Amino acid sequence: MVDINTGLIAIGAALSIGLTAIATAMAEKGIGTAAIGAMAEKEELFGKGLILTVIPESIVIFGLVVSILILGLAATH
Amino acid sequence: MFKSQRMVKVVLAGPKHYLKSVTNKLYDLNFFHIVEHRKKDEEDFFDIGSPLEENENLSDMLVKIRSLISFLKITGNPKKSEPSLNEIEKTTKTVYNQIKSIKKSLAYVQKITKVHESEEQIKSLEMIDLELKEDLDYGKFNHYIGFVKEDIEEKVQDVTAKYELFTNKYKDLNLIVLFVDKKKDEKIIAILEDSEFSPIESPYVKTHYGDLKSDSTIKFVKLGKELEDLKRKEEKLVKKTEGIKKEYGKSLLTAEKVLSERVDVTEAPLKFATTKNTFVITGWAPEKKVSKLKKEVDLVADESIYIHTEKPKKDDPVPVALQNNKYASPFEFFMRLYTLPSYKEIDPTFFLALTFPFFFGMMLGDVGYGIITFFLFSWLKKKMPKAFVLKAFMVASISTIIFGVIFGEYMGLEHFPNAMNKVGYTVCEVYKMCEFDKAAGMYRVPHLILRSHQIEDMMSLSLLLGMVHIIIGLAIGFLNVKNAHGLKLAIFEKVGWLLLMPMMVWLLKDFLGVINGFVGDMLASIMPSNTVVFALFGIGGLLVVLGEGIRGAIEVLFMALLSNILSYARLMAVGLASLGLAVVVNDMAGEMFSSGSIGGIIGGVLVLVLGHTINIMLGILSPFLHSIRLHYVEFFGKFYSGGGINFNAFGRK
Repeated sequence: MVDINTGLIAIGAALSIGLTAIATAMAEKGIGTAAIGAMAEKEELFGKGLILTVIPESIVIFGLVVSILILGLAATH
Repeated sequence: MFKSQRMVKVVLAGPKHYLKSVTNKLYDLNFFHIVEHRKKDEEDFFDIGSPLEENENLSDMLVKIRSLISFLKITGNPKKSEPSLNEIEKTTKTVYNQIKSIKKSLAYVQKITKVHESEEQIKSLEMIDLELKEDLDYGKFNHYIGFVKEDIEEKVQDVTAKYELFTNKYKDLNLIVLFVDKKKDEKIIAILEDSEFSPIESPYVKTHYGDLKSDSTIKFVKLGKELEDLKRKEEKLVKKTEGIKKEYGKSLLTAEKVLSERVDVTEAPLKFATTKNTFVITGWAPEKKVSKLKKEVDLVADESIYIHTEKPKKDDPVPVALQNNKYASPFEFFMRLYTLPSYKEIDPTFFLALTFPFFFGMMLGDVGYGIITFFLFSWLKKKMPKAFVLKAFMVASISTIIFGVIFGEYMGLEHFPNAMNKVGYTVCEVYKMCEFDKAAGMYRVPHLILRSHQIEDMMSLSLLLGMVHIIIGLAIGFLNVKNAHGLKLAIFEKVGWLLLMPMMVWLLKDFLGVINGFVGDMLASIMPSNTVVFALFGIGGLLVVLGEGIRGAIEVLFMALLSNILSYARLMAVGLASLGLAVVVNDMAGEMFSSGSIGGIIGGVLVLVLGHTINIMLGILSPFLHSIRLHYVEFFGKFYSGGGINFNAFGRK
């Protein structure tokens, strides 16, 4: 049986990655819509639009890093 | 390699009667970038030039050819040969006239068909009053009922006087009912064919010939045969068009290519500055080729052209022509996708060509996927020989294979099954290259790093690579700033950032504990003491604030460098996601296979094929985007300003 502290740590790690994933999705939604709008006007913008759309992916990667850090806490706990 | 081609500003001035020969020469040389002359105001001494005189004729022909190509739906590649302008004119004329007449007939036939198909023909017939004269005797007369293109009365009159013609305009079509002497039938048929006669069959007329005298309308018109005739006629016309397409298609494409090139040349003077009797051409040419330009132009213009050359001044908008070796040039595509480097800047294509495949491979990192993507890209290259960027992706695939060997991943498999451990024994036991994984009950594939288990090592390695990448970026930035604004500012801006780096290592390693394992040990051995680290941070921060002002202060305060470095954690994260998906697919299929039933085996194969196909598609898209993003945002952000003008040589594309 895992003690409650470990469980809380796990929830913290899950929150870290889950919430940042939602944040990324929200950010990418806006950029993606704008990129498609721009593409409708000028098709060559596909490449730039695609790259701009993945820029906020950093947010979820930071979330992953933090969640790995939190899990590291669990190991030392 | 690290600089775009050195350019020289060239100004050619001369009398107008050499304009044509000089323009043609420049086009043939194909390395002169024309700077368009813009009239500043009405008092500007120079006017914009007018096209060479044959331009009107040529562009007229070009429009005709393009309309033919789009009408005939011709696709494919033009021929290699170069027909003369006379030949082109001749072919264009013949094809254009043929198509014109076919189009006209086709439109007419289609119009008539529409009328026949609807109820309208009955209506139109009802509107004709037929009141025959007494002496029209059945047996001596033939009758024709239908539509014609134009009035035929005069023509019939010329042939015979024994006729009776009723006409009615119906929706700008001529409906006729013609009774005519049987003896002159041949000539009458010729006339009718001439005017595209489209008959309506009417059995009523045939059987009630006698009654027509009293009956004023024709009723009970039977539909059918006339439609068939029309359909046949239409098919014939379409077939004729196909024949023309087959015969002239390639020639038209070639003609289009040759003509559009010629039109380019004849329209070039629009970009030149001219006066009544002279012209001035301003532009850029690569430094290496300028002497050739001088020699060739002198040759065609009897040395009566004044050619002035000068090195670019500080704020000149110099066009940029990248020059890279064979390995790096496919990667120029990514530079164009972002923005070309400006003339003074270092061209980072070569660095991108080194690190892009490296990052891509590190993220995908699987021997099986690498081989599949390699063949996919080489196949695509064969299909699209002009898409040089695919070569860059082929390099990335090779890098994927190499990283696959390092990570010991083969289509997501990291273990040798225990039951078939003959191979495993020899590799693992004899050479001691891999260990028995008790949890999996299998032998591990030989590897250097195990991505699925050494997550922390992978992350540390990713961040270390990130730091190296950013340091390279800062070094390039140092050179750029030094060339543009001098050594002092270069030290303030870029060395300042470099001095912040030890602090970042300290933060990541000792404070956050993200970097550890063997990478941590490695870094610990070269790290100076904490006092030095903090002192360097202070000096570095100060330099950045001095060099970049408020913006620099904010960036230092908000740890912009730290988030840049942490961003490289995606090298680990994206790879882990791709590996995770592959393992899930393999496990699902494995369970289905072990059930042993036929359905299970079929399902397993389906899951394997489908799952890995999806994963490969994601595995191309995602590492590509993330790898290129690391360059555009993190790497280029350290030195790149871009905004270069593309060197667009006047000449054959």
